[in-house]
Amino acid sequence: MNTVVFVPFAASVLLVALSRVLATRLRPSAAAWALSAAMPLVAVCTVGALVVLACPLPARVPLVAALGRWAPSAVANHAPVAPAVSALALAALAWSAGRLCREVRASSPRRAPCSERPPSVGRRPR
Amino acid sequence: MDDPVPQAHALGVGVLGLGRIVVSSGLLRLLDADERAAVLAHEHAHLEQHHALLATASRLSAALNPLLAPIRDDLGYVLERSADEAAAAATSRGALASGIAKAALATVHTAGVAAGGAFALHRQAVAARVAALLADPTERTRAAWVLVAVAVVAAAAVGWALHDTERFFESARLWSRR
Repeated sequence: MNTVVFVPFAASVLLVALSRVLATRLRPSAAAWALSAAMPLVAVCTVGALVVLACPLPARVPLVAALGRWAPSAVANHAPVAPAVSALALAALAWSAGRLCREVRASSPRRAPCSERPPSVGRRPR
Repeated sequence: MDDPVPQAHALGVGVLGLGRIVVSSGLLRLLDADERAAVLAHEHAHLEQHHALLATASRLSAALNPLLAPIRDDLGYVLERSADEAAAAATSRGALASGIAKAALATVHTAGVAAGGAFALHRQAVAARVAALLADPTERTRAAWVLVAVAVVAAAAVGWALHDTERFFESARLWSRR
């Protein structure tokens, strides 16, 4: 593993900078779809990068090592990531999972009043 | 909706009849017939272009990766502009611009609504949207691929890192046997 694992974090920062510039300069529908496609993809990639950074730490747990058929000491001696970085990535993953759960829970009550309303009447004006 | 505050919302997504448009009586009283048609076309465009789904995807993405949180505002503006352009094509650019401006001016003293996004009437965004509606529409789309390319590079990098990680654990098995 090398510095390539940090590319999604750099991509996040680059995407923020580009979105500021391009949001007002592109045709709005094109900008909307490009941002909507890029944002979830980069978010998932960042989670993937955190998983890659975090995994050497749980791999040292004897139960996980037995399941993977490697010695915990072999992982500890050759781990490509420092334990502190792995611990930080694990904490970031847990924090992200918590934020995601809160966001999903928060959007549920917003949907309920919508479904209770009567259907729209009429068609789009031409 | 019987409410003196001028506001309009598109709720839900425009598939299977799940979408709803809510307009306040205050907005209906404030606008003339052309402006009302333009505002309704704007809200219809939100439903037809599934903007609620895109906004939800952006919220979940920002929850997963807080570095992306600033993009939510940019995307919010772009979604409003996209609905503006669709409504302007269906009705009239001038009527929509004047409808947005009238509603914004009427809500200037209603802090909760102005900040809460009813008809997305953030003050700076309103000025930019009205200016964009009164200018010639831009047809630039090619630079959108830059945004997608950044995401694809990130995906390729993670794929590479995952492949390296797999090789590391295969090596760990070999080292364990020695």
